[in-house]
Amino acid sequence: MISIALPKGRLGSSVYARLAAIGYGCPGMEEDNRKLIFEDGEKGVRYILVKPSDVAVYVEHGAADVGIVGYDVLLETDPDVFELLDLGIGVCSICVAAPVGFEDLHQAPLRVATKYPRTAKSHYAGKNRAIEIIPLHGSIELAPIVGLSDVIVDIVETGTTLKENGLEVTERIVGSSARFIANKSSYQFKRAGIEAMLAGLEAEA
Amino acid sequence: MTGYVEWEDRVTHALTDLYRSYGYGRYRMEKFEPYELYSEHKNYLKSSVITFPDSSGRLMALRPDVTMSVVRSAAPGEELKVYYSENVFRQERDTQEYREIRQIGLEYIGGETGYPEAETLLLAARSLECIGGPFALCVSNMDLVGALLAGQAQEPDVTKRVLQAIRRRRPHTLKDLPVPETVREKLHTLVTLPGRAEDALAALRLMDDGSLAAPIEELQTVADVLRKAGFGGQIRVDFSILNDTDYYNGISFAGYMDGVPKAVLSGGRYDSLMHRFGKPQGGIGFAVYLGELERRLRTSPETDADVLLVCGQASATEILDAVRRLTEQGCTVRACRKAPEGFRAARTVRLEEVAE
Repeated sequence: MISIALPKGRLGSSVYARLAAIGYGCPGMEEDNRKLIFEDGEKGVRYILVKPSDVAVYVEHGAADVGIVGYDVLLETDPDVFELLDLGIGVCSICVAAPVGFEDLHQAPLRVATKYPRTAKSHYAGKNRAIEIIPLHGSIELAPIVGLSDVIVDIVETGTTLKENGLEVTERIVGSSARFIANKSSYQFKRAGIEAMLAGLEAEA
Repeated sequence: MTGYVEWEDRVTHALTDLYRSYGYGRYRMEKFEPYELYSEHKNYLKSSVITFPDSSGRLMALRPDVTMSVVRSAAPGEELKVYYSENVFRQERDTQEYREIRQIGLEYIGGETGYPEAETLLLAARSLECIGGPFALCVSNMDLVGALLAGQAQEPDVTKRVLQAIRRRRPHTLKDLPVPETVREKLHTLVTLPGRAEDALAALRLMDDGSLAAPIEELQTVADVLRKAGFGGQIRVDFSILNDTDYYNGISFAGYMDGVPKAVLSGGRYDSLMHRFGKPQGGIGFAVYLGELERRLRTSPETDADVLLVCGQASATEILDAVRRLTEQGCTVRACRKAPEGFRAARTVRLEEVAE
């Protein structure tokens, strides 16, 4: 049995479609219900639906053998897991964005609103720029508009949300996409099953 | 069924007996040490050291590691074989939490080339066997990666990125590395080595242009030793377990147990660490992290004792006599005047029932 931690939401649905297409479908997964665990004993798979930012936690601690997670989350949390494949979906970038026309005058620490504090700190440390992190969990774009921060560090897919809120990308920190990850110990003992799944996903990618 | 604590005692005895049988002596160390002993080698420890001032204001550390202490205690050129069973104390860099970690392990300082690897790897495999259950012993060779990158890593960042790609099995990140195509192909082989040790060694030989012969041979020797000892099914050649390149060199290895999410054993050759402390001889060793196994074995004992001995108004001497007779039969005993509520015993006996 291979346990798969799948992120709830759009990314999880598209990855599940790929997994189902290569023979890892599971009854009930496509139904509209609130169940969080689905299992198919015959196919030897169990799906665990979790918050996208928690996928790597489940995999690192062995509650799931494999999982699908954005590179942005891996970069931020640095879990001790194998990162076996870039699925090439959920493509986006982690960017610095600021109100249109914003100029950093370097007269005070830059106030950065983000849900990626580690990534933001590392980015600005590399530029030797003093910052103040304002940790947020959602609606990051709001922060500069209401004066909570000078800039934001967030994932940008198309840039539409930024544009609608009067913001623009000022720097691209790193690209991100969905990754297929595995627990290091599970990989030793369920290697054949994990590699079969990996090969199927690679072919689909 | 016994609980985790009883299991840990049993495994500790089995492991220390095993190490003693191969001529290792017990190494003991203080819990408190001057911080300056560790401040220069903070990178060796993956976690932060827990510090506090002593009464004279000197900064002290709670023992964060055993290997470094053994290395310091060895005389230059001395051959030293020691085992230890100690708790170490660390502050996690991410969570800032203090952790007490149970470590049992051994260090083989000095010795002829080749034999220490064979003996240490064999004892690592036998340690995992002692713990019980399916296990995998992954072996790699740091020198092979060094030889592969020799003359390549002009930018310091490249080595770091290569090691990350190998440790995390990230073949898709190799395409961005500024290395020649031939090196990239070899790195890809390293990251995607097959599971069986013999297949992995064959794949390594295929990519050898002569510069990798010695480290591959070393891996082959270790694989042969383990196979002859009956561990052929458990050994893997796997470079994802590479240690820190500043302190370790040569063979490095890690052990995994089925159902335990993290490595339960970690070790390797650390000649570079020895040289940093001015010791010309080499060293190799490993530690078993029993705490990692706790979750798998976190089962409450079904009973608190084998026998609940209800003694009524008997004298202390009579009670002690009865307890002795029962313990001589191999039972664990809880003696009491009247049966305590909620106590779980396999059987309850009254003092009068314990025959002379």
